[in-house]
Amino acid sequence: MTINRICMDGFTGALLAVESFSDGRAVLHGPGGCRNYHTFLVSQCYPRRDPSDFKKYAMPYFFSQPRIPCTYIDEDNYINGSEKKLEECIPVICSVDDNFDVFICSPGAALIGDNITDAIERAGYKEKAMAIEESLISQPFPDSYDHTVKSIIEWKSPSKKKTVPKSVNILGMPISSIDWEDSIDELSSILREMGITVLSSPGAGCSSEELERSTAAEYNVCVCPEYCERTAELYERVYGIPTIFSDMGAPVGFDAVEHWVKNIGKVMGADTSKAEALIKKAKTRAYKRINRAAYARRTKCSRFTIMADGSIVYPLTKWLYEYLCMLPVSISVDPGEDERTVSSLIGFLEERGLKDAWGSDPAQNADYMFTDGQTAETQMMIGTCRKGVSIALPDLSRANFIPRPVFGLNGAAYILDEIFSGL
Amino acid sequence: MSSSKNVSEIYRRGNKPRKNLQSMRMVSTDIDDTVSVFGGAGLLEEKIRDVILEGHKNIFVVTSCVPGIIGDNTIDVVNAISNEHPGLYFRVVEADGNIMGDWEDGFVESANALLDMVDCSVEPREMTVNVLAERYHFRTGDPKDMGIFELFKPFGIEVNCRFMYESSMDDIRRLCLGKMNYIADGDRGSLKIARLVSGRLGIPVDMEPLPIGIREYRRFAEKIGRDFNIAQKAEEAIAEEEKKYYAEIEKIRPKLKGKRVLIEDRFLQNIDWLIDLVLDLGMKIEVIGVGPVHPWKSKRPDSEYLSKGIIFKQDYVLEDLLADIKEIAPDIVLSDSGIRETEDVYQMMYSRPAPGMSNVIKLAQKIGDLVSVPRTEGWRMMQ
Repeated sequence: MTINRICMDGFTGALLAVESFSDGRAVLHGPGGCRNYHTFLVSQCYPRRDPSDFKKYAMPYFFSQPRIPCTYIDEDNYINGSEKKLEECIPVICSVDDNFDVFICSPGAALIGDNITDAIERAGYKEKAMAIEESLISQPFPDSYDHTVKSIIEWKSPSKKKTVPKSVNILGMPISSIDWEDSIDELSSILREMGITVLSSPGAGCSSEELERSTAAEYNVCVCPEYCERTAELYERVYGIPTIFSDMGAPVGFDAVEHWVKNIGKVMGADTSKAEALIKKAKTRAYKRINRAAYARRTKCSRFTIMADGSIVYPLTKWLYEYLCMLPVSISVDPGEDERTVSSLIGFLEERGLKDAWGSDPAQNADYMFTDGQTAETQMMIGTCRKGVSIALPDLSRANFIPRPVFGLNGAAYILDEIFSGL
Repeated sequence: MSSSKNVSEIYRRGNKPRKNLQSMRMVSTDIDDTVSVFGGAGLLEEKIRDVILEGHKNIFVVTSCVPGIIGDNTIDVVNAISNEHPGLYFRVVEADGNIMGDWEDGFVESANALLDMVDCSVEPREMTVNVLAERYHFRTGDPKDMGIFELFKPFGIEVNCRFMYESSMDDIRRLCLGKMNYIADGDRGSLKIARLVSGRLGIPVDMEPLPIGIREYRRFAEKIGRDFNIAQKAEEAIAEEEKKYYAEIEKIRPKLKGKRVLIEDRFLQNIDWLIDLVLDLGMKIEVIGVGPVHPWKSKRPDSEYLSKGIIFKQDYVLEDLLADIKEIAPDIVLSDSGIRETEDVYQMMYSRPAPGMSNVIKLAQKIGDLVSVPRTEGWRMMQ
């Protein structure tokens, strides 16, 4: 028995990456059937609907849904091409507001081979719209996300600005991460305590204006390497801005957050004492709460499963094992993994005699399962785990009001909340 | 992971663990670009064999756009495996979105596929019926969906199969056990499924949807009385339901009496049940805006109220609704499109309730509650 878990693919990754720009809009070149779920998912990942949208977007291709308008190609277009349809839709979609548009082909439409870039140019919108023509379903979600963010930066081609000392861009934060806006706020706040200013976060709520400013950064700092390796390479090659990666993967759990902070401080020559004081305060708070928790000892030897991006799995596995003495029984990473992080993860498990957990059946009974919200919820419903902990979207079952990000100090508190509420 | 079925199951989750989530049984061949070059037959065969090893006995293969475009011969793959496993049931549903059409078309095609399983040698049983074209995404999950059974219970009639809602393969095989078939709704998809069942199996299907509201209930019960030769029992059931209905309505009526109502009907075929309810509650209907004809609404509602002085405006769009709200200033707007553009009136979205009396009474209670709370939620004032 195993879990038939379907990871989001490169097609979804590209759509979400475009939609991650605050003034960007993905346009789906494909049939309506490919639109509905993505419109819904994007609205969950990046809620920004305005009450007037219903009326404003009551027009063809949008049908009152502002996110991911669609060309609605049909059987005829598969046979005769969709050039005419593109000619009709491009002026309508591209002139509705000031957002820039990125056309993404559905898996089926990618096989027709329409030249959307030419159609955009002919319509006179090459400054406002672009197309990613290739088929993306074969790419893992993070690769496609990264590729799309990088393609948009290349297309926008911001000019190199004079470097602002002690300034960074945050890279590698996908909007499929739960409460990513709160993560960006918190990580920016920690960096501010180190005297570092965040100029932009391409791939996570970045505007065209911020993107233009991003070339003034002294460094980029990486959250999840899977989502930014190509973008980081672009910044280094074109703008001479290097990216700071952390050996511990993403800042998940107190230890990885501390490592992330110290590593950035070391490379940039920044004072980390105030940020470290923040971490100590958060750890002290957690200590007091765990110490007085009625069933604190029950976490010891609790069995857990993780299925997520490698840069999250590694620090989370290590932290749960070392901080709470929990036992990994099934550890696996989603496609598109960062090889260095995965290698560290496997090394960590081997050194502790836990190698059997690597890639083992996630359907075996565990106390906790850390994975996307959808899988966590359904596996808890069927009894595979006692508590499913959502650490990524899609998670259609709830809305968070108290910020529950995975990264940073609030992320550590969220994970502890979930663990101790499942005891 | 995120199939519509899966989403539905998560939304309607209860506290009780469920051991048999239907969405967990849906698997994907996870095709990628290499399939476009080399074909997907190998992947499909591998996946079907995995599913067989897991012990599944009835296997449906549903295609998407890509296999259709590249010309995968899905039927040949399935036939070859089927020959090796004569005890298992296989069926291909070619549902390529680009060619087949929209969601509703695919649903009807699946109904068509399922009808292959029906054993036509089964003889109909007295006092037994089927309900057709219920759809899981219209429903809210156990135990709330049991109203269908309650509807037939007073007549001593048993529901055999709810095609295609929470029914097992055996239920579908024994579909012909039902002496009469009823449709749960009168929308285009339901009518298509009803015609399919009637045409393919040659069994009787009542093309009137199951009743909502007291007047439809009376007509339905009288028909049941005639068809099943239980007129006396039917009269008793009508008397009982009318007594309960009017008792509940009287409780709510004081809150709503005299309120002026605007109804927007953008999607539903017929809303006479709603007009009945609104009038029973003592409200005055200022205007009914009927949305334009579109693929899901093939004809305008044949309302009994067309000749009774109520104003129906045809081809009603958003601009008309907003203009009427401004001009007429109704107390309440009931809309099936969910539009909310103004804070000046009480607004509520409605959809066609599940058949039976209990859900229409709940809707009446909800309209009554509507005027007991502020017109707009405070959080909306942020905008």
